[in-house]
Amino acid sequence: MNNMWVDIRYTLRQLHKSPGFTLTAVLTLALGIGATTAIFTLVQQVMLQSLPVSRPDQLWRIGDQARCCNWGGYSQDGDDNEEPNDWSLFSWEAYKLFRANTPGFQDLAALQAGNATLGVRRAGSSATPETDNGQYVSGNFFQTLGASAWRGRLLIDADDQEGAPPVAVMSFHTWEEKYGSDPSVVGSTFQINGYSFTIIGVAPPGFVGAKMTSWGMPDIWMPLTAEPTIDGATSRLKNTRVDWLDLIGRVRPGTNPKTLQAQLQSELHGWLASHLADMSPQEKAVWQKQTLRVSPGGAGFSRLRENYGEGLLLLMVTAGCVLLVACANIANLLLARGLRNRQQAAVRVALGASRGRLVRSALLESVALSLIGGAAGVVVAWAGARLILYLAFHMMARGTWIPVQASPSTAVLLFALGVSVLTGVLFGIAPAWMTSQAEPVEALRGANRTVGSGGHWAQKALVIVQVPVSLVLLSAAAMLGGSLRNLEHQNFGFSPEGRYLVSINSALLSNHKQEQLAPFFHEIEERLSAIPGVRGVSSATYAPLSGDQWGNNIRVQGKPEPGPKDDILTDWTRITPGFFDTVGARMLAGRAISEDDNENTRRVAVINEAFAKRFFGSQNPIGQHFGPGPIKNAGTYEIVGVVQNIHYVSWGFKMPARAMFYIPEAQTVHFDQPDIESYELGSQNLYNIVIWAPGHPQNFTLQVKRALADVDPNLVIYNVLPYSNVIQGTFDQQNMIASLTWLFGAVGLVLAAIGLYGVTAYGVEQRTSEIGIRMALGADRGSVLSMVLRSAFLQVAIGLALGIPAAMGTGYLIANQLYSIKPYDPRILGLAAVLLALAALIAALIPAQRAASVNPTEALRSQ
Amino acid sequence: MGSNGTLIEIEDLTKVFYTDEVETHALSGIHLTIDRGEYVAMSGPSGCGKSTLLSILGLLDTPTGGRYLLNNKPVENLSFGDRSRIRNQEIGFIFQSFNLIGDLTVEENVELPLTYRAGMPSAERKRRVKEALERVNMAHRMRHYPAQLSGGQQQRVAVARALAGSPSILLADEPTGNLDSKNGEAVMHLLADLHREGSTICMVTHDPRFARHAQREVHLFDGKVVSEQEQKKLEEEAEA
Repeated sequence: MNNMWVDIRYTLRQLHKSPGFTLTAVLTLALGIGATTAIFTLVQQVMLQSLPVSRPDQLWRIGDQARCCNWGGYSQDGDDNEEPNDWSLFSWEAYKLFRANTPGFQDLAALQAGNATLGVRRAGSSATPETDNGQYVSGNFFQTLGASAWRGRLLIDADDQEGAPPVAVMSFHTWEEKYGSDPSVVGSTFQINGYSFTIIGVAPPGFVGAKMTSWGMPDIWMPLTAEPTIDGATSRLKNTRVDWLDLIGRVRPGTNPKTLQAQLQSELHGWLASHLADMSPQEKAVWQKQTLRVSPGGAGFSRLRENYGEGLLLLMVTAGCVLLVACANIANLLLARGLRNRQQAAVRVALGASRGRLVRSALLESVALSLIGGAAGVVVAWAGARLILYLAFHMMARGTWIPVQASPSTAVLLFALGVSVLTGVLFGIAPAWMTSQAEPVEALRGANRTVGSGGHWAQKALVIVQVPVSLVLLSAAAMLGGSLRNLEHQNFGFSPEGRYLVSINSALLSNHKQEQLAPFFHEIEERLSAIPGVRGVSSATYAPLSGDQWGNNIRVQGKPEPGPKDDILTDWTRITPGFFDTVGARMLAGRAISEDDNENTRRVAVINEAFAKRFFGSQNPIGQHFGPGPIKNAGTYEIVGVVQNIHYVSWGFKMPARAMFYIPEAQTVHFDQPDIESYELGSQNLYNIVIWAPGHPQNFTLQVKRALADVDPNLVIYNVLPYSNVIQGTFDQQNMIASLTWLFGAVGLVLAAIGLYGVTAYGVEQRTSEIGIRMALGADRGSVLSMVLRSAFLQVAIGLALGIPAAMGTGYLIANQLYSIKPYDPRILGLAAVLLALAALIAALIPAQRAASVNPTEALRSQ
Repeated sequence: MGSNGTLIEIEDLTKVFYTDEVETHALSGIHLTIDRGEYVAMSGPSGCGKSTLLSILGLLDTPTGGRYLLNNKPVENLSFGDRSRIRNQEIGFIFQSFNLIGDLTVEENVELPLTYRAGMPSAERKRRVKEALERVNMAHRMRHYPAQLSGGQQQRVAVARALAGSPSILLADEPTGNLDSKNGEAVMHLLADLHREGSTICMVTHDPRFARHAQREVHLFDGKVVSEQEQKKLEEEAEA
C-alpha cells in the first residue's frame, strides 16, 4: 500500500509535469466518456429507472402493452406485433370489479391512459386560463403508489365518490413553475374548464404519477368521478364500451403473479359475459378469447421506453465507438511516451522493479488520466444530455415538461466512474505491456542506443483499429442523415409550403356550448381569411401530422357484417369547408366538403384512396354509404368525394396508407351507442386550424393571434407554426439520432486523423536519421514524401478493408431506423471512405512534409 | 583489505549474440572469482566484452553457457522475477550515464530501489536514504532534481542509490566516463573510501589511471581473460 502511494504520487507528478500531454488526453477522454455518459443519463432514466415511489418492485400492472388513450368495445386487438385479444386498457366498471374481487392486490389504482387538456385559473381571476394537463385517477392512486403530500393532502377514496365536493391535487412541478410555490394555492378554489375545484394539496417533488411520456405529463390530478363534470356529454366514466384506464396495483407480499393473472383473467371473462347483450356480432365471436397479462409495474406506463429506447441504444453504441477511437488515441500517446521513456523503465528494471510493478505504474497513469477525463466527462455529459433533450423533445421551444433530467444521478456518476476505470485499463494495457518489456541491459547501453520498433507497430495497429470504427460511424451518420432527408421531403399527400398550423385548446374551455362550435369556427375562419396574404383557412379536429389520431370500426352499407379478422378500422376527422384546398390535397373523384353540407342536408363524407381501395376495390365509391359500427349505422354517411391519401399520423411512414374519412363540422348525427355519440360530440371540438398564406406575410403569427383574440380573448392558442416546422418536429427523434451520429462521426473522424498524425509524426521523428542517410545517398524530397505517405496510407487501406464490411453490417443492423435508404449503399460507403481518406491525407501530409524538409547534414549530426 | 570468502565465482562463461545467422562470441570461456571486500577493475579495449561481462555479473543479462555462482548459489538460469529480486537485494549499479530519473528528486531517486523491496517500511527507507546520501556527502541536496546538479554530484547520487540497498557488490560501468577529470578523480576516491569501509566493488574501465585504484585488475581481450602482458602484446598486434 505504501508503495502504491509512492507510485500514485509519482504518476500525478508526471502528469503535472507534462501539461500538454495531460490536457490533450483529458480533453479527448472527456469527449469520449462525456458522450457515453450523456447517452447513459437518458438510457438510465428512460429505460432502467423505476418510478420514484416507495417499493416499486411491489407494483404490478394489469396489462402488458403501452396503449393510449380510448379503446372502444369488448375486444382489444393491438398492432400486428402485439398478441391478439390482449387487454391493457379498462373501463371504470371493470376496474371497480377487479378492485373489489382481487385479494392479491393490497391496493389497485386506476389512472386515465391519456390526458385531459384543462383550462385552469384561480376563481375570481379574469386572466386567460392556463392550459394544464389533467389526469383522472382513482381515489387510492396516491396511496397505492405510496406518495405523501408535500403540502395539504392527496386524494383519498372519499374524494372519488359521485357527489363528493370537486377537488384536485397539483404536481410539485406545476406548483413551483406556474405558481411560484405559493402556499395559498392549497385550499384555494380554481376554475377548471369553468367548474370550481378546490386544490387540496401538492404532490411531492419528483412524483410524476405512474406514467412516463414525452408529452402531457400531469399538472393536476382529479378523481375519476370528476370526469363527467368536465367532459359532460362525452363522459366515459360509466360507458362500459370505452376502455380508457390503466390499472396498477401493489400486490400483497407472497402473491404469485401467475395466480393473480389467472384470477384476473377469470374476472375479465365474468365481466365480459355480463355484457353479452351489448356486444356486436364480432365481439360475441371473440369474447371468450379475450385475455390479459399482469406485468411488473415498477417502471410505470412508460411510452418513453417504447418511443426512444431503440434510438438511445443506437446512440449508446455510437458513443461507445467514439470512446473506442478516443481510447486508441490515448493508447497511442502513451505508447509514444512509453517508448521515449524506455530507458527510464530499463533503469527501474535494473534496480529491481518487477514487470508487474512496471505494469502497475503504467496502468496507474492511464487510470489516473481516465479518472480526470471522467470527471471532466461528467460536465460534458450534463451539457450533452441537455442538448439531446433539446433535440429530442424541443423542450425549450415547446415549453413542455418531461420527467427526464440532464443532471447526473448517483447511478450515472457510478457509470462514469466505471467507464473511466475500464477506459483507463483499456487504453493503458498495451502501453503498460510495452513498458514492462523494457530490458534491464538497456540501462547499461545508454539512452542513445537503438530502441526496439515493436511499439511503433502497436501504434500502427491502433490506427488500423480507428479507421474502421470511424468509417462505421461516418457511414451510419450518412445513412441516418439521408434517411431523415427522405422522411422530411417525402410526399405527404398535401403541400406544406406556405401553410401554417394553428393549435388551440378546446373552445369548450372558454365556455362555448356544443351547438355554438360550428358558428364559432366559421367566425374564426372569416377573421383569419381577412389577414392580407391569406388564401385559405380551414379547421379540423386534428390536422395532418399534428400528432393526434382518431379511429373507428366502420360498416359499409350493402355489405355483410364483417368477420372478426376483417380489417374495418379507419381513421377519421371532422373538417370545415375548403379543407383540402387549404392543405393542398388533390380531389381524385367527386367533390370536397362544402358550405352546403350543414344540419339541414344529408350526412356526407369524403374518403381517401386507401379507404376506397380497401372497401370498394374497383367499384365507384361515390354515392355509397357507410357508418360507424354496428351495422345499423351503415347508412349514416354518403360518400361524395375521394381525396388523395394524406399522411395524417406522425408515425408509420414505411407502412401503407391508412384508410381515412372526413366529415363536415356542421353536421351532427345522433347515435344510440353512448361511446359513438361521445366521439361524435367530442370531434366537434376542433383543435387545429390550417392557414394557407404563401409569400411569408409579415408578422403573421402576431396577426393570427390578434384575429383569434378578437373572436374570443379566452381562447388558448398553443402555437402558430409554419408547416415545415411541424414536419421537422415530427422527426425530432430521427433528427436527434442523425445529428448526434453526425457529431459522433465527426469527432471519431477528427480523433482518427489525430491518431494517424501522431503515429506518422512519431515515425518521422524516429526515422529522422534514416531519412538523413537516404537523402545523403540521393533521395529527393518527393521520394521521402511518398515514402511517409505510403506508410500512412497502408494503415488507412487496411483499416478501410476491415471497415467496409463492418459498415455494411452496421447498415443492416440499423435498417429499421432507415427510410428509403438501402442498408448497403455504395455511394454512401464511398463518400464515407473518401472523407476518411481525405482526413487521413491531411493528417499524414503534415509530418510527411516535415520529413521531406529534413536537413541531411543536421540529421546525420544528431545521430 | 583481506578476503572474506568468495562472493562471485564464474566458470567457463560464454555469451554468444545471434544476429541474422551471424554468431558473435562476446565472451568465450571466462573464469573469474571475486571475493567479498575485493575491489576489482576490468579493463580492455572497446568491444572486448567488459560491459557484457558486467551485465551478466549484474544479472541484467543471461549467459549462453557456463556457471555463475553468486553467494554460492547458481544464478545463471533464474527467471526474470528472481533475477529482479536478487538484483534489487544483492547488487548496486553505478552507470556511466548516471541513469538518474529526471522526474524524481535526489531523495526519491535513492529511495527508488528500496520501493521495489517488498515489506520495507517507509521510515526504514527514509533512514537508509539519508544514510546513503550522507555517505556520499549529498544529503544537503535531497530535495533537488538531477537537472539541478553537476555531473559529479549526479554520479555521487547514483552511488548513493547503489549503496542504499546495502548490496553485496557494487558494479560500476565506466563510472567516470561522463565526467571531467576532477570529478572523475572525486568519484574514484569515493569508491576507494567505500572499499575501505568494506564494500565489494567491480568496476569496468578502459582508463589505466582509474584501474590502478582497484586491488586487482582483470584484463579482457576478444571476450577472454588475459594477463596484463598478454593484453599489451595482443593490442600491439592488433594495432600493427
